[in-house]
Amino acid sequence: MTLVFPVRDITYSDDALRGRLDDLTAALGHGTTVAVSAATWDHGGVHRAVLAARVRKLVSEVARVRDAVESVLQTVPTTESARVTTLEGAICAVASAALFGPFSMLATAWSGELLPTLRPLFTYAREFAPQRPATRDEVVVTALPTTTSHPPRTLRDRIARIPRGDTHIHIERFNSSEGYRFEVFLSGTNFAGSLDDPWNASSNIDLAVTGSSPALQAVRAAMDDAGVTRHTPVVLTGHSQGGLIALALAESGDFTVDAVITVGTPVGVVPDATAIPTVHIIHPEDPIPVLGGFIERESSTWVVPVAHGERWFDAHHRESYLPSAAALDAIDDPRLRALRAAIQSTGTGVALDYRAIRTGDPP
Amino acid sequence: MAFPSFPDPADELDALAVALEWTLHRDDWWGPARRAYDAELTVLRDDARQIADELRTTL
Repeated sequence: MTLVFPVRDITYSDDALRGRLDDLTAALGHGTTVAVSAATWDHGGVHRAVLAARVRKLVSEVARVRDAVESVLQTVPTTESARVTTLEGAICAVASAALFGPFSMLATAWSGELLPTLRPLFTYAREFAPQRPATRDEVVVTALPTTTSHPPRTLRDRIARIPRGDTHIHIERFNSSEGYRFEVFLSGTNFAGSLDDPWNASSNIDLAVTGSSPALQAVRAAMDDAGVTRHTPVVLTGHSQGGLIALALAESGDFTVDAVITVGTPVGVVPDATAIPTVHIIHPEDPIPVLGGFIERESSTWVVPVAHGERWFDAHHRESYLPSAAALDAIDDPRLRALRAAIQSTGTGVALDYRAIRTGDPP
Repeated sequence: MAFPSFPDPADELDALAVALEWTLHRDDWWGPARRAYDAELTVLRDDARQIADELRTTL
């Protein structure tokens, strides 16, 4: 059973989560006591063994729900005292790495404390990093042969169309009586990308620090080539860095953006375009979104636990977000229903894929 | 010196059910997924009560 935890845009307080966490912790405490007792029931006949198995399953389910709530709690704004605790943890981790080498940092990561350590460090690095001028690299965008396409109908449809591999930009154009509508799909960071790949990891830093990046330039060029103008409605869907680019494009005001949909994106890195409907889907197990800092409340972020127990970067893969998007499609939320209807294209469309290569002097 | 007695498993399961019941009735929840979440907690609460009843009648 997949639990879905919408966090933003609704009546919510982290005190509410903390209260529930306390309740579930208390429930788990009672359950653990029974489970210890149940370990002796296996010798008391079939019925007792069955009851013992049911107790173990019950306790395991309560523990899973409690862990899910705790994971969600880590992605929402904390009280100032908790934030200070996090910062203290960060300072200790850095000091320990300096004194005892990176192995201690690995030990910290292994203990599960690395995420709250990295989060404030990234936030403060962003705030205090010197403002470099926007990158001057040239980006060459190449269109691949076009194919036909049918309009995406669900969030999952859209996530499934985010490109993988060498193709980072996928654009679909639909023609209706009201004119063209576009859907733009943007891939995430290619961590193995070479220096001439605009989607390599340094593009993330460029975008966070300067507000521009080679990848952003490539998307603008591709959209221009596909015929997206200032007035054609467009829906932007991105995974990870692709989500950041989508938000940056929406925030620029240069396009008529009907909606922004992101998965696994550190959405705190760039500001939300508050007038534009947004849906951010993140896994609490995904280490990338927390790098963007705490979740703000101005838009709609949905924290959905992974479907198959993925951890760390496995929880960041685009594929791991497909069942999560499907889970959101399945719940009967009026806002999501209205959004899907508002951005629905019709008819047969044209699909365009683009490759981008960075030229010029790498940084 | 007397050792404390081991808690009665059925009573502990009742206490587990009460904790889940308590969380189900908190009024400051977080929105449209409440029903899905509450449904799961309700199942767990009912399981706990049912196991407690069976323990009392069979052990």
